[in-house]
Amino acid sequence: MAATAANAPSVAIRCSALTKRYGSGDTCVAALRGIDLAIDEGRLTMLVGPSGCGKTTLISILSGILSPTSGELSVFGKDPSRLTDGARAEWRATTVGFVFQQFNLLPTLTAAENAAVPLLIRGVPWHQAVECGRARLAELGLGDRCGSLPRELSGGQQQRVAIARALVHDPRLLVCDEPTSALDHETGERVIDLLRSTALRSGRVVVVVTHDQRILRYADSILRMDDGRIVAESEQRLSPHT
Amino acid sequence: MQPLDRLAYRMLIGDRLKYLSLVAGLVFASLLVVQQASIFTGYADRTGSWILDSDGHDLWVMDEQVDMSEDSKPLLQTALSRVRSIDGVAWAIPLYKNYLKARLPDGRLITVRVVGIDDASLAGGPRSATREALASLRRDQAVLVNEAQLATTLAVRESEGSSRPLAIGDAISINEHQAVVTGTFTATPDFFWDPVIYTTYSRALAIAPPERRSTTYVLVKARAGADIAALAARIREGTGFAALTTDEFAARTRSYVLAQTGILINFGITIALGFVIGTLVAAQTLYSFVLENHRSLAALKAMGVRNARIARMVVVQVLVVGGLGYGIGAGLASLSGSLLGGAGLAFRVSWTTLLLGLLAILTSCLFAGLLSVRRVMRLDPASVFKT
Repeated sequence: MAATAANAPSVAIRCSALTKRYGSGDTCVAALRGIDLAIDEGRLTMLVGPSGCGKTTLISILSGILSPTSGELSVFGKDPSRLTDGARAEWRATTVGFVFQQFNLLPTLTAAENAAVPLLIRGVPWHQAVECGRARLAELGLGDRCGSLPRELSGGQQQRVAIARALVHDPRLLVCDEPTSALDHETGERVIDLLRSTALRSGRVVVVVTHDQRILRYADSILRMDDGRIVAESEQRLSPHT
Repeated sequence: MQPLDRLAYRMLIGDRLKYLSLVAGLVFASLLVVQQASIFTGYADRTGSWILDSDGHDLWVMDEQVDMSEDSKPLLQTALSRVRSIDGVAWAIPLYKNYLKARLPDGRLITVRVVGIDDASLAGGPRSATREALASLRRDQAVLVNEAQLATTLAVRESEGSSRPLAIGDAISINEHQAVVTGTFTATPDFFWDPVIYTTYSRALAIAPPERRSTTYVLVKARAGADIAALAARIREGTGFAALTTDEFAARTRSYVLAQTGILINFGITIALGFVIGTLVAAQTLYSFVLENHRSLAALKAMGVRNARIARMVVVQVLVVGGLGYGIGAGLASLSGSLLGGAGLAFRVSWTTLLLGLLAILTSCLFAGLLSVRRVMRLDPASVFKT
């Protein structure tokens, strides 16, 4: 995964000896036990492994939500864990897009308004932000459902709204937590295909945590984790529009 | 409106049922608080009605131990001369006031407040009485009665359970002395319930049981251009009596009634109960509203919304429901007051009541909102990754 050729894409995310422990003393639990990792720009990386192996902790650290206990971290040249809380929140708002397993759409907002939330967080005026959300939804084939509330949408449609929300502010890092687990197989494949074709472009990194073996073929690289460590890495040659 | 403030507003109004129950709780609390406080203010105002209705003078001079208008501690008749001798006094007249028994034409015995005003000038009489009514006091046995009580407290019961209003020309007996109703006046509704009957000072003394001290108050008119406060101070210094303006005497009476009767505590308890119940309902709903939005707020935190901004969103929600609930509640209270005012309910909505009520409701809502937001503050944004 690390850059080997002279003209290879630059490394976007680099971790070295990253650890994360929860609690202290007898109740101390090590969630990450020394992660070394480098992810290049323009790649879709999937994290797989059994429950409790540290996948969610790792993406929480990469996205600046959690801070590691020790180790080195660089995400697009910056270590979010060294920022103040406010600066870290600001960094997340500008740099990271999130796709959650349960979508986490705001139930009282329309699809277009939900898609606009990251722009609203950045202070973009309401109408302008919603217009951008509408445009993103149209790109994802949901142009006719912009005014629908989440409860009026199918699971696949809701996840597409979540993807539109994750991309609307053009973040460099897209973090997806089990984006297909709440969807049927066909819808799940469509969603991951959409993620790959829409999200992946030069300079952006997509990290997907998944248990879903069927979508692994969409990954540029697969990291297998177990007991807080990366135990295997594999790479696939894919075009961005596979 | 800031985009996130609007987002907070949309989150609030999106669930109509919860939104309406929040507003309803606050409407209930505000209604009770404003209504009870306004009734309390109305009653407090009425304690000084008789004093404020009195006309034509600048100062009330009385025994320094007098606590209120119904507290009779008469002065010696020499008090009048002593007061008249004070520099700055244009004129001073005696006023008699006492609780006596009166027998109505139907034989009923009631307690009345007999007020005797200066025979010569007829000053100190009710502001609303016409010149003719006041002049009628110069007739033999004449008394004036409150028009509003003619058909109520003073109504004359006739055979077969019917009654008629007491009328001009009717004779009543006060302390076994005959008196004739020669006129009426319109009194401001009073906190004290016994009817006021005006007559002349000399007739009042003739009616009342003999007492060594017979001057309840000395009413003083200051010379033109005189400083009333300085005159009051001179009277206090020169005589040892209390000298109060009409407003000061009304305020002293109000303070005494509020302090010595249970009215303040009773209304205070009702206001507090309404406030507590209403705001508890609203606070509980608000608390559960915030907690039910826990996941959405955690997602917003993960996406980069700072804790302070989350708190501000909750404050926006609180201000919207608090403001709306209070507006409707205070409006309903005012409406009920104006509707019931005609039925004799003591009710006055003051700006102080409205402002304090608003402050109290918003403060309690903010407290409830910030209590719930504390949990959101402590919320781990990573929890959005948990199912």
